[in-house]
Amino acid sequence: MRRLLTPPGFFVGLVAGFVACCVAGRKAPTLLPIEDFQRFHRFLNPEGLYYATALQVRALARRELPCDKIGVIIGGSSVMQGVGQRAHAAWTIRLQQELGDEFRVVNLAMRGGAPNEHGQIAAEMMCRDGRKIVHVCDVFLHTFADAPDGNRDVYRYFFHDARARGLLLPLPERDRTMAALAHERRDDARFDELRIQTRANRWLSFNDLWHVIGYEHAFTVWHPFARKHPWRARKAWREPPLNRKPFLKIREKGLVAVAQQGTPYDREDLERLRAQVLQSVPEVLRPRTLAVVNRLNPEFLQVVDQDTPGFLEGYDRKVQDALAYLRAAGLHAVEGCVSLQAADFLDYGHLVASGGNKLAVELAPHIRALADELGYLERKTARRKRD
Amino acid sequence: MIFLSYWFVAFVACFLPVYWLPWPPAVRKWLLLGASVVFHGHFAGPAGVVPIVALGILTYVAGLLRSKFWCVVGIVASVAALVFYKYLRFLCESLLGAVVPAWGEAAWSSAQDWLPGAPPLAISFFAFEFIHYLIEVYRGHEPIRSKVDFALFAIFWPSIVAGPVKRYAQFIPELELGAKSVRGDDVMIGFLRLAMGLVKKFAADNLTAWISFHDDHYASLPMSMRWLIFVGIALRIVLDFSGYSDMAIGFARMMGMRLPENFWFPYLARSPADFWRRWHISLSSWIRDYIYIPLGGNRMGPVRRVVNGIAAFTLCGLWHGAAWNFIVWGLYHGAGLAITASIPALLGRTGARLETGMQRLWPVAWALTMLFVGVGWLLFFYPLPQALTMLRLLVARS
Repeated sequence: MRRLLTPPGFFVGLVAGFVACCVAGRKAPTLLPIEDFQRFHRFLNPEGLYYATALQVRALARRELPCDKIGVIIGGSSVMQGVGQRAHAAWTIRLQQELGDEFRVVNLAMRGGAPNEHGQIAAEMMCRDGRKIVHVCDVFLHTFADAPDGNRDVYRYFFHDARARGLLLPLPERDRTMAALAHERRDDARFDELRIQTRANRWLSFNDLWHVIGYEHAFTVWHPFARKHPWRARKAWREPPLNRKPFLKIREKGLVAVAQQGTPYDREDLERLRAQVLQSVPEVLRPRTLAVVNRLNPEFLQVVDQDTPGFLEGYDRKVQDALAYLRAAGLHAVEGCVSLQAADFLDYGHLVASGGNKLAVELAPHIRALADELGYLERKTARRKRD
Repeated sequence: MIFLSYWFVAFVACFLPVYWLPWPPAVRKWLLLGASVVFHGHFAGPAGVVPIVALGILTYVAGLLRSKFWCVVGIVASVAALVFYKYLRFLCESLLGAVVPAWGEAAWSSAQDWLPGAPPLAISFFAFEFIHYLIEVYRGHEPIRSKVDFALFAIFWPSIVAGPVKRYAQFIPELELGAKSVRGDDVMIGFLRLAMGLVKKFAADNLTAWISFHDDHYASLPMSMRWLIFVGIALRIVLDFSGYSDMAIGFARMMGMRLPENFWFPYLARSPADFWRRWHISLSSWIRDYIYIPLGGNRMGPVRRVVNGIAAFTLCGLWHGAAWNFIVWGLYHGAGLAITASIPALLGRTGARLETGMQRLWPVAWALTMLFVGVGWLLFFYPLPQALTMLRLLVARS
């Protein structure tokens, strides 16, 4: 053994192995994309320590959204993800039915996600590919997105991964804001680490390799979610059924959250929110983005209104103000969940299957109209006529 | 985990290739010193660097003076720094607070103004290495004259975080060798050792997640699972500590230097004494050389030997952290060592037979030692009441 293991042989092997891993990491996400994808679930998202990489999501989006179809990318929060509906009965399936075969819907929303996170970044990558896409996301009343790299630390990696790889659309405002943020975050070791990680990954693709191996063959990090088969490949896990208990237990918390939605915007708020949009959404993507301000459970709104007279009026005004600032920033904005009853909600904001179906029916005409406005449908009709 | 941070990977990737270039030895030493300063500065921050620099200068000057007075001053300063930064809160809240709670609270609230948010990085390692150096100089050994050599002995980056606790008489010749030339063999073996450390650390981290998850509902687990966790805790700590040591030894080897081994198959030990010859060797030998033997060791009769052993191991426990469970763990090991060492003398011929029997029936001796060590890990990781409950639940259903 000692005779076989000589330094020259060892180093040649080491370098060859390292290069092979880098090349494999670069190619693997395209060659082995995520299969049978319906939406991110806890075995495929950061909750389960799975941080799908930008290359993986791009490969997924490319496969799910063929060039000859109009791609509808759903981004945003758990409401858009369809929390409250089973994976096979999620609102996006109904949306696909409503939109018909000309469209392809892919749901990249995340629990607690912001409008500028996974969904938007995937939309940017598809725009760079020259695909016909519509990005649909929900927007909370209190914020659009606190920073161009998202609201939650846990999802920020995705923006930085895509950015380091040069997969984002150009947006000078975003670059300026990120430069200022980098200065603010200079003492935060997490961002230092994230910066080095994503830059190194751009050249070495170790993250991509590890995530593809974790998806295809074996996951190497123990997590309570996967405790029965901790090393099982993530593709072998199906989305577990939703545990409704926590949602039903938090009624009081929900009422407090709803009550906070009544505070009217002042001029500064509206300027701040508009600036958030301008520094997050590239110009090219703005006309392709349908921002949905979803109304909350009417029962909760009524309860709060009874406790705080005038709340409902203030809430309605706030929703309209939100739509106005989103439109002023160049996005298409519509109100969602307007036709829903209390029974369509799981809690104050999440939807059950019936609510999801209603939301799909509400949004489909808006998406179709937007696609038409963008010329996607016309070109298709013209091509058909030519043929 | 410093060795698994991206900053550190970038640091190593930049430093090692430069170090391997064919520099003259003096340049290599300066390169290594520069890297160690960058490493220490990055991970410790200014608040962590300043006390170590001050202690280092005092230790270096005291060593050069070779004056017993200044050596004692240096030793006292290192001990005081260790107590101040690492144990002050424990002394105020847990010791003084246990006697007069109001005084403890008042002492801690006024001490907080003087203390940084966290103790300086690796203060325990620095203090032990400086104390060792000054004791050796006090005993008449040659001090390190070169400022660069001393600075490297103090902040040699591979061993800052988790040891081994270096001895300068071993380290300086290795430093000279590494500065002169680095052979391909050394780099290769260093790489392999590093890989071994990474694998151990990976296993330890997974075990940590698994154990932490089960901690909350330990009482409701089946008996077999509780025993599995008992074994898991023991595996986790050996993989974690020895993984770190492997990485440190591996990095040093990649620079052409050999650091002393710190773990030598500790779970093959057949007695508590054997365990401590294999476990955290650099620490246990430090405790032996600078606490146990100066206290009289086993030269002053059986009672004194027991007392010395217990005192030394209580300090060993306290070195691991400022909390009661570490003290209890140290006491437990000290008592275990004292009992196993005293049995042959106390029981006379029966004791001698027992000792011979254990040597023949080594699987029994091994199993008992592992049980002893495993129970110790419960005391090490958990507050005493929880550790005792977990111990009880290893034999009782509820």
